[in-house]
Amino acid sequence: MERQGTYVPRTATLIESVEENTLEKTFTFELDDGTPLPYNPGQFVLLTVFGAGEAPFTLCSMPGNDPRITLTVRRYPGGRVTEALHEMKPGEHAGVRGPFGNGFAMEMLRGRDVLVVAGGIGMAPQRGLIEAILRERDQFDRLIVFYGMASPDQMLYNDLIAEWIEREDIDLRLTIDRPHTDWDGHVGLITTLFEELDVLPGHTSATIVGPPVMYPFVIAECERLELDPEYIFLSLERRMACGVGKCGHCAVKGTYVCIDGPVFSLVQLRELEAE
Amino acid sequence: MQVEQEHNRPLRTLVLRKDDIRKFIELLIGAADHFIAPRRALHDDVAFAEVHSADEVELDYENSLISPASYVLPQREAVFTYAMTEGQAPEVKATPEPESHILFGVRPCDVAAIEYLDRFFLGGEFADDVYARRREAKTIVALACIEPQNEACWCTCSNAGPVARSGYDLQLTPMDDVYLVEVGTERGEPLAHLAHELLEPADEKLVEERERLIKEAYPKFERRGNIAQAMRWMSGDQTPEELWEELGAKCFSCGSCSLVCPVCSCFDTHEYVEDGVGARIRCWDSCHFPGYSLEASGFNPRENEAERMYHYAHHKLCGDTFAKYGRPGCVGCGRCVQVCSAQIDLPRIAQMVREEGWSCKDCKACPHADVTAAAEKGDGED
Ligand code: SF4
Ligand code: SF4
Repeated sequence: MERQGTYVPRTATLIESVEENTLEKTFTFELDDGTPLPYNPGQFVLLTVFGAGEAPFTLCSMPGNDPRITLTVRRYPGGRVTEALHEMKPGEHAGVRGPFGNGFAMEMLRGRDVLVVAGGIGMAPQRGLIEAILRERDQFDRLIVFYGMASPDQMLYNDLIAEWIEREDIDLRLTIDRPHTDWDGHVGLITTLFEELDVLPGHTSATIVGPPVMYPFVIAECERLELDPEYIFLSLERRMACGVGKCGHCAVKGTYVCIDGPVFSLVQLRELEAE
Repeated sequence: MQVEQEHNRPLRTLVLRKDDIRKFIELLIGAADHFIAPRRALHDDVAFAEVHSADEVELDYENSLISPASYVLPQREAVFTYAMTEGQAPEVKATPEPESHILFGVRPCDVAAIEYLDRFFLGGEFADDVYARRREAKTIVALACIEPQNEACWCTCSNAGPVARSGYDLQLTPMDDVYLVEVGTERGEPLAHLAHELLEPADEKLVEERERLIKEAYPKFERRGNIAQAMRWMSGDQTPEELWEELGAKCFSCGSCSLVCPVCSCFDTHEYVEDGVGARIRCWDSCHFPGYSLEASGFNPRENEAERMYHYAHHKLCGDTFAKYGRPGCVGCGRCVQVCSAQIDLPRIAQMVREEGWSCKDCKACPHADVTAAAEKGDGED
């Protein structure tokens, strides 16, 4: 398709929105021009809610070659775009630009054990990655998924998770932060899942997505396990107004999260932080 | 990697008698949709605005508070528009072709700033087509300074002035009773043709005379020779945290310094809808604003001003910026000196970095050593 311009979105129709829990909904859009939007897991789009504005969201569906995309979005009170998006009804239209960013480097995961760490809404970008791994499962060794959430009612993708639990080829470990009457599984912060983990440090890649507070603690656990920092990947979230390295908002020193990220290895991240 | 700044030779060098300058301007006025030039505004201020006759043009002026770079990256502009109809997909449209402008009387620092913006917006992984189209419709007629306009000018530090060496289409340098006129680009040629009756080829002596005047002018710039050294300290992260905390504590986070800066290009976007017609508006933003990086979730990676001050100064002064855009993120226009009520202007920051930082000159690990060395070589002539 001919590019209309750097900032002009393609219109898309909302096919369905599924209420995941009280905070989050999963939206499926179909691009109106019918052309596919191929992407890598971990890449994001800038979604326009006409009349409200534009914001970046990571794609969470299985990266495919079709005109449909899926996004899971938390509603933030006062967040113009997320509030307006949550009000959208099927058949209404939004705008899509992208995909942007690097996404996960699959070649750094292939042939290795993969530890996927998802905290809360961090499961949204990780879902695309897990599905991509499952699609060519024999290319990877162990697939270990840690998924932590505040309480059971905040779980995303219940049906999918139920499927994953049945599968032999995913080692899925769930945890909730505090005890809850509806839960008989593991209780404790996501870091407590690392206590019973046994990995081959030189053979394991880790991908980590979650709220910013989670990162230092999970990184510390990965370091305790002596994982190679070249193979520890984190996805950063930053405010963005363009997605193409121009608006300045996501810049960390000379690095732009939108084009150089959002996924960085721990080595790259340390270089950014060095002050 | 671009290290040396381009010193393009002009295509042609001509002479215009000072007495003919108004005639010259009159001939240029019709050559574009709009003729923008320095004009006296209220209270003797000078602002770049549309003029319709040569008499309105101010030829002796201290640079305007708002840079003419604002015609290239306006404070507010639509990046696309859309028409909303109930039950239908909005009809999204790119913005119309921008009208053409001649920017007359642009000072060398602002010429350098526009050149920086070009490299930033047109280079990198994605070129900005909104910027590209607007920029394409501009012709820049520079008016060289030779002498500092006021004590805030420090263009010599970043090699941006007092005359432009590239980035202009035409440049006028005031000499005794003539202007030296340089045609910098093919885009400048039609203007020179329009005024050909007033122009004569310049002889080599006049060009040499101007170089002599420039040399003589260097010592008159009060703030000199510290950007490149500050860049060294900044690139190697050789600055104490207390410096940023101290500056952060003084700063009002008002954003004025970056809003008046012709090199600063951060923008935010807003939605504007009226009667079913919407527009995505981009408007200037400042990394000093507390909300600059605040996310909907409440997370703010640069919550306090000390962090934001470091980010601002780092972007302007690190070797990475020089390597990517061929100059520091400052062209020495002195505007931030004029507006900051906390007296935290970039020349002062550079000076503090130099005084508070420590030398990393011999550090073999510095990825920017070659760049900063090159910048230092071209740093002023004192
Ligand atoms: S440095 Fe000065 S001008 Fe800039 S934001 Fe702070 S107080 Fe305002
Ligand atoms: S930092 Fe200050 S002196 Fe430098 S270009 Fe910007 S406004 Fe001008």
